[in-house]
Amino acid sequence: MSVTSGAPKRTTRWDDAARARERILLDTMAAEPKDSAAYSRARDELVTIHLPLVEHLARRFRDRGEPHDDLVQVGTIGLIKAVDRFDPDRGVEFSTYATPTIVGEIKRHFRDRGWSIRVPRRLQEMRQHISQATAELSQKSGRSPTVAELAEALDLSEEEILEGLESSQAYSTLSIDSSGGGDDDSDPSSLTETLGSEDDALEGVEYRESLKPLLAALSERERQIIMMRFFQNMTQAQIAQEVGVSQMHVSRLLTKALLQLRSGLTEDAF
Amino acid sequence: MAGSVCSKLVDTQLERFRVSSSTVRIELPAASGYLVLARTAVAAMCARLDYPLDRLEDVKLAVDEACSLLLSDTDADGTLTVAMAPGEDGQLNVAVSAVTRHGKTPKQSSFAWTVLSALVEDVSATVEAGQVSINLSASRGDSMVAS
Repeated sequence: MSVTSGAPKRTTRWDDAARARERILLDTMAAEPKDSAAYSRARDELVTIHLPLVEHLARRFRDRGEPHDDLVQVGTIGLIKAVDRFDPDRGVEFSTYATPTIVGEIKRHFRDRGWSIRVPRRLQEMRQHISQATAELSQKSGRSPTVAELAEALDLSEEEILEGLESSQAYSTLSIDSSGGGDDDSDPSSLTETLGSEDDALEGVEYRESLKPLLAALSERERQIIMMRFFQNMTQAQIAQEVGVSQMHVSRLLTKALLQLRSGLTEDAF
Repeated sequence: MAGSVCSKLVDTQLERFRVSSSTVRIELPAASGYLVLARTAVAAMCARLDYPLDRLEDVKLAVDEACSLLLSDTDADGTLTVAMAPGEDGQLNVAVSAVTRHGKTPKQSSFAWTVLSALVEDVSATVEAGQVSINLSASRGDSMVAS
């Protein structure tokens, strides 16, 4: 059996035609040898026509601090696994079979990063309050506030503030270069000039060659912040002022970028 | 048994910095999922010492980095020890240690070391009987106004 190539039509509704097409593709995969072109074409198309399902499932996890695109990406891995493992003889709809696999992969993504899936609303709100109060108090005193000062200003316990701080690191890894940052209006080109050459800054780091592509993979903002903090020894407060974002945001981006660098860097540190 | 030897070593390490009666020490399984406990503890310590928020986050990040660095060279069934003690003038000394596979101190030319040096005032590393210790010394920073 051969499968015609060509982009599958996106259907807003999972109609009968699409269902029939899915049937054909599944049959093809069952019939053709795994190393055949027909098999891999059918596999590709099956994955492609179910991408909207991944989109849909990924959206369930929005506002949990992970970029939507990343979730779609890991969800797609789940989809591919489902396509490869699906057994049409079991009499289950493919989408029924694929959904838990996709969701599982997305959840695993959160788990792998050591984060819990649920962000209590209480913490989300607290984070915002802390960020706001930090900005206000910094403005007033010219320095970053202490936990005690924040607790007093917000009428919360120090423990609650600490909890809020930790949670803001763990969950909010959304880059300010992605949507929803709201404070993304500074001109990056003017910053690049103040940074000087990255090569100069990295002088002395033995693994700078392996570091460079990792830095390049960060967003412009994250890269600038990393350079400012670790190679120009600017304080988080100074960076916040320079870049025009809140200090909590700087802290968050630093943590996230470091995590990313750390997992990518294969340097032999010992 | 091994535990008490380890903690003795950590204590020696802290003594080098400056002795303090208010040492806090936690032992963690050598897995990244437990680092939240180290971070939370060090954040609470910084709060006690009235660190401004940006310094608190720096120290947290440094402890996280030091722990991760040691974890990368520690067997999964190992133990990570984090000991911290306040010094003079709001200084905070933290010693992160583990028995590592190589039993060597991290290279000062590594990126991780660069990061640590930028985050805290002083970083050093020592090794005794296979127990590698990364010692961080942080201060409130000059942005602190006298109170």
